[in-house]
Amino acid sequence: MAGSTKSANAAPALLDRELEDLPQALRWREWMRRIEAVLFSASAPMTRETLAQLVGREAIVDLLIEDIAADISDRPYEIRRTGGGWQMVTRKPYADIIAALHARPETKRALTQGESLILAAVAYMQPITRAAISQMTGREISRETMARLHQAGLIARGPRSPDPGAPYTYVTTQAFLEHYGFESLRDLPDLEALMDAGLLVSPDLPGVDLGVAAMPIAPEKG
Amino acid sequence: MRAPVLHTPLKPIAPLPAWARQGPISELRLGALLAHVQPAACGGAPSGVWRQRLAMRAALAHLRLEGRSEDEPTLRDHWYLRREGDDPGPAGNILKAWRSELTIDPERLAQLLALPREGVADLLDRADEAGSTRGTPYDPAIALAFQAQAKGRDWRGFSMWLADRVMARRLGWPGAVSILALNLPRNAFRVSAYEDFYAAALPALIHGTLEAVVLYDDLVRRGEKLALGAQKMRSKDTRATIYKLLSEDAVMAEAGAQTSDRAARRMLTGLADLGLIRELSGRASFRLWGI
Repeated sequence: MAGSTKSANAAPALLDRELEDLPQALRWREWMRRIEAVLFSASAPMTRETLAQLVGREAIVDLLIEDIAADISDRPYEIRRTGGGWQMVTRKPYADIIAALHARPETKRALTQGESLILAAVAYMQPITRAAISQMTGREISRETMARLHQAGLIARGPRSPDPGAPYTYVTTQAFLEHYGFESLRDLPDLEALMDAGLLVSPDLPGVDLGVAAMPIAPEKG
Repeated sequence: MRAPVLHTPLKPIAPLPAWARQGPISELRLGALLAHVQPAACGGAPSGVWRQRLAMRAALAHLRLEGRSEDEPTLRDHWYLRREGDDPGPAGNILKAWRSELTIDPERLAQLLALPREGVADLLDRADEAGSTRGTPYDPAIALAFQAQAKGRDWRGFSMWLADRVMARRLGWPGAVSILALNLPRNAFRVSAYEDFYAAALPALIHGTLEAVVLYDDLVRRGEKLALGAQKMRSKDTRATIYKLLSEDAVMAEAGAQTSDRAARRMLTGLADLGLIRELSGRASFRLWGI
């Protein structure tokens, strides 16, 4: 019997995971479809554990994903590894197409250049206070701007700073990594390498249009 | 009659024989040092602060491998100026991993170290296995570190973390003692043969254990001085404060069970004036004290 569509997190008690009655090739195919279906419908990355609940005990999720990836290699979407697991996303060139369709940028408002600049400052210098970001970016960052980024889940509260008044610092979140398609903060472009390559003057960095380019790297002196 | 300032007497370790302090690099010497450090590793004062100071040094070495530039006071600030629910940031998370208990949830650890969960879980399983094998404590530790670092650059810090955990398991210690990271040179990770890695890890373990012994001796001395001097303190929370100073890397002036934060600050400042503890941050506000 076919199982009804269930949320991936529900106990898979009613789900036939092993599919013993199918020949090996068909079982594999079915497992791939299950994973693809779940990834297709999910709005957040799916972890290996979640996906493993859908398939037989000896099935290797990584290999299934690889096979799916190969299947959809010519489609305008792909399966991307992000911090928490896998997520189905449209391929980069089609992002603009989709954006063009929805005359408004997106339901989630796109980040302004200023906000991207703040995020870059936080990403590289975290934990960092609002005052320190203002100093780094050379413009006064308002409380409201930080609150907006906080509300969007892109930054979180870090330890307090020992500066007078013990202001909060900010750190980036998992959502920040997902937003930019990073697996971890190590994927941030190496600023020194970019400078060495003379890329920091160029306004659009490959992969990251964070506005990093405009960011002063370190105070010139003192 | 007044209760003694210490909950339990300090636990000194026997002086090292000269040949263990200085001598050729050999497994025998490492074995002697590990046996020596055993009482310290098995708890009692001041092994709390000792463990945490070693974890701090290991975390700094880890951060350098990751190309991060946080120094000790900064990292200490990230750690101690947190409130409930604050994220200590990427560097603070690495420190958190080094300070963690012997058993840790793979998911949590993967988050702290920003590594993929599956790889971390797999290596933790292998550490469990290695921790329960028979034989020397360091062989399986070095072997697992080698396997972990072979997964790539990002795994180097974690590989050192794993080695210490395997050793602690094998030696039956209640918590990990951070040893390998203290002296492992960066180029140990550039080798491809296990023999070469082992040849770099063995002296690192010897020097790391030696460093740990020296640090412990020093902390015992400071602890004795503190316990003696603190007998004169009349604050109500003296015992609790001394206990905290012997179990934590750093202590903030916080309200205690019976005293206000002001009283705590007075007491810590007093202890520092007597030269019994040190102010670690170098600041005039948000001060952090430690032995």
